[in-house]
Amino acid sequence: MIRPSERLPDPQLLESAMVRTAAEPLPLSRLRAGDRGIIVELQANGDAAHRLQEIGLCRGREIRVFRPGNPCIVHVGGSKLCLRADHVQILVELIEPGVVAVGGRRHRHRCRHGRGGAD
Amino acid sequence: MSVASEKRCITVALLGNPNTGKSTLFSALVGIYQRVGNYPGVTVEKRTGRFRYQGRNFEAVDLPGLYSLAVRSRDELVAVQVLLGQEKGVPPVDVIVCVVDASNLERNIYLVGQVLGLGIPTVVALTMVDVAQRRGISIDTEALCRALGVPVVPVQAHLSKGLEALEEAISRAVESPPEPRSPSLPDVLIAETDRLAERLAEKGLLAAVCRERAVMHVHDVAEAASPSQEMTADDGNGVADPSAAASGGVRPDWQTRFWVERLLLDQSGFLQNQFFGKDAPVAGRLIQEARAEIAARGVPVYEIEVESRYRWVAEVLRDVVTYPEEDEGTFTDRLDAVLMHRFWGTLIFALVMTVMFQAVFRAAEPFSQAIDWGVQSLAGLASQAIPTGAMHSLVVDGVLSGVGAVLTFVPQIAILFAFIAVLEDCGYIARSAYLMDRFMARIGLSGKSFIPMLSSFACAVPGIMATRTIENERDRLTTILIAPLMTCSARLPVYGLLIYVFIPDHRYLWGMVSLRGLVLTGLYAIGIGVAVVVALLLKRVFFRGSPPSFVLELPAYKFPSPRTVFLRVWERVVVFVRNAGTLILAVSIVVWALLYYPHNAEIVEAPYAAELEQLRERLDHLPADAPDRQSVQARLAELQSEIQTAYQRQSWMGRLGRLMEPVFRPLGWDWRIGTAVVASFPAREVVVATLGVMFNLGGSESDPDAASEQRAGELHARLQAAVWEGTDRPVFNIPVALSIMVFFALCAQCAATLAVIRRETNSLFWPIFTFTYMTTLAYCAALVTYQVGFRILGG
Repeated sequence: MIRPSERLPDPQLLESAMVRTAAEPLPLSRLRAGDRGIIVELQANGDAAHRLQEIGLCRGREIRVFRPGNPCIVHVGGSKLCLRADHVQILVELIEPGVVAVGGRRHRHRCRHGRGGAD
Repeated sequence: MSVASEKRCITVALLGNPNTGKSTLFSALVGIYQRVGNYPGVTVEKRTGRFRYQGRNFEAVDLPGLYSLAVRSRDELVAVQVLLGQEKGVPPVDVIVCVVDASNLERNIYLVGQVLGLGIPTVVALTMVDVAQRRGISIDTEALCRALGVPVVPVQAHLSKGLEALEEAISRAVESPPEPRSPSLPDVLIAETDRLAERLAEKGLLAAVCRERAVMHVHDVAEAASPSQEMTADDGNGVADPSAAASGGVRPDWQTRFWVERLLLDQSGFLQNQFFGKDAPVAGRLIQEARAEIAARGVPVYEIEVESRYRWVAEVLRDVVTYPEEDEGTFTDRLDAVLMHRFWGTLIFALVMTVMFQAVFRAAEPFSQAIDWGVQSLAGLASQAIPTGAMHSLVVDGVLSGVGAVLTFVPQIAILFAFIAVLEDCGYIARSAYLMDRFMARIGLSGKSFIPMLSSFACAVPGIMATRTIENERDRLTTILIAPLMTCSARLPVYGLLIYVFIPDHRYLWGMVSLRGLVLTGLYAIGIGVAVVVALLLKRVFFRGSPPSFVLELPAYKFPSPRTVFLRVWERVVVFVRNAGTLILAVSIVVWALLYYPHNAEIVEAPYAAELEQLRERLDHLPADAPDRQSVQARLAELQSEIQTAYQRQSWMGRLGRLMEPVFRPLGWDWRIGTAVVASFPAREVVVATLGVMFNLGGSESDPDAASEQRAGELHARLQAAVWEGTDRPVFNIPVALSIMVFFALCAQCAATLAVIRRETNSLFWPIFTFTYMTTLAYCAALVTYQVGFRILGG
């Protein structure tokens, strides 16, 4: 099946994802291993932001945390990035477990960690 | 239209994200005959090679890996200038091969979107199709081809699959140059770009856009008048006369237009300073106005490009790619779960590093010995072949001992680089940056600085060359400046000699810890400790400003390609040997000459002549088995080495050493140690040989076949017996030995390192700075060591 929206910014689907996620956007540093979310904001000076976006960390894309912390390891698109975000704030809208989120993917990672959270 | 005439070489540029298998594809296309060099004025690696397809010649250029054509550093500027045909030394690019990683299509197609805007014939080479398939990603190549409007060829370079199809596509693409299009950018940006170009032209600033190399290019074109120019001219967007563009009113050529667009989008100010110099404020105002114009439409400038391009990518890929229903953890993820584990990962990393260092020192030993033996035999042969005199001394003492000492490090460098190349090619090096980033961040660097530092424990030269992977210029410079402080293998002969002779073999804790081992560890610690302090100071004083965020892609693990590993090691060794063959040779000869000349035989030998003559005569008259014979021979040898020393005293270097003795005295050194240290400027390990010469060992005059162990023992005895001239106070004691070792731990006595810093920073300032700061530091530390040691341990 074709699910282009899963990895790509699409304002409409971004909106729908926002509806489905109950929690406030969290900074990336607060996410745990296996957490999935949609990047809603990237706060950095123009140049740093441009670079991070080009490498794939831009608004509306799905991000999955592989190793939390600073530096952290995240999955974005098809790539795995190591990231130390000292002067960058990345806000992520969590995709809650059990919710059929953008692109219809279920989230076994969240279930495994058993983090109930805001619901 | 026949574009490329048969006699001309078609230039193909390989462009792509890092870790897409671009270099593997390049090697597969051109074979192992690759030319590696630097672009003039920068340290960007220039890699070219040739291949033939159906009787046509192709020249392939492998560009550095880029995520985007947005230029913010000199290195990226060079890569993009090559693409635009504005880099001298590289003919205008006829075809761009965009290497696209099938397992990460979105970000790779992003770059393709930028390339399509250039209007140069483009072919997409789709790599990693097998990786994508294993992940369950299926790609409709035909549909991708239609959506992009350029040929898409799947290739598996390591299996040589798809190469012919790619070559076919390349030679077809040359025939049909496309219109440049910006399929992915919004109209407002395009309109503002044109407006900005007009305004810059009004102020007479448009000519400055990419002026330096563009001028060269136009000149080249006029000279060559190559058919490819006809091609672009026919197309209506050829390289217009830049003076026309500068005079205003005329639509700027596509290269200038590209740069204006980049100026508009570049927030770092790099291009603005690059192009306009002192006019930057004027141009900056115009650029700001244009940006404000765009922002007024509700989009921040830095987001406009990325967002609209990614939206375009989404459109392109809509009917092209299918992702798996469930993303089960990949092999890489499962491996990373262990290798990137905070405890196990760090442990495994420490293990890998230990194995690597053991290999560097142990496995290299037989090879180093073989090379050493070879150089020694060569010296032996030369001693016999060349009659005694200046020429003999030059070849044996100058050339062979200087260059030979450096060549013995080739095996270590080769093994170290083989390890690093294997680890890099399989994807582990990027991970080590993650593992070490936390530590490196404390001293203001990032994980990327770790591998260069680690390599520097074997040799600073490959370490400094490895800093090329650090994009941040300040981080890179800091790393280059502190890398020579790591205890490299060349310091070990010096430490080995002095520790063995002067540090008593005390053992503690039931013999598990030895004083000698502690001293050696302490010397390593001094290097690291000082490096940390210097890094912090440099960050505070020279390179202020917030450290950039650190992003590094962790590529999927894969089996290393033997060809890539071999090529990488081969290139490094060639660079090192070339260094040894030129600069070190030159410096060795200079130091030799200073130690040899003025070589005034009458003055030097006169005081000894009478006794020498007398001894020789006695020897001639003594019967072969007389008991006196041995003692006479011994006295004769002693006399000859005294003459040798007298020559040293008389040499320019010896005079300099004695002149500088007041400088060395606070460190506890006499003029001979001082001279030996100064003379070891080309390479620190040379000091061992020079000390031998200075302290009456006879140096290379002695039988080269004599067992080196015996010679070493002799040197030990001589050093312990040496006294200050005119007294019977021994020259060497523990504080003196410690002060020499501390000096060598911190000094920059290595011409190869300074030469590589010169090359990598492309400036004379930084090698001079390095030498000055390290020598000052070494002197002060040696001074403190001796003065404190002297007071505690006594003379």
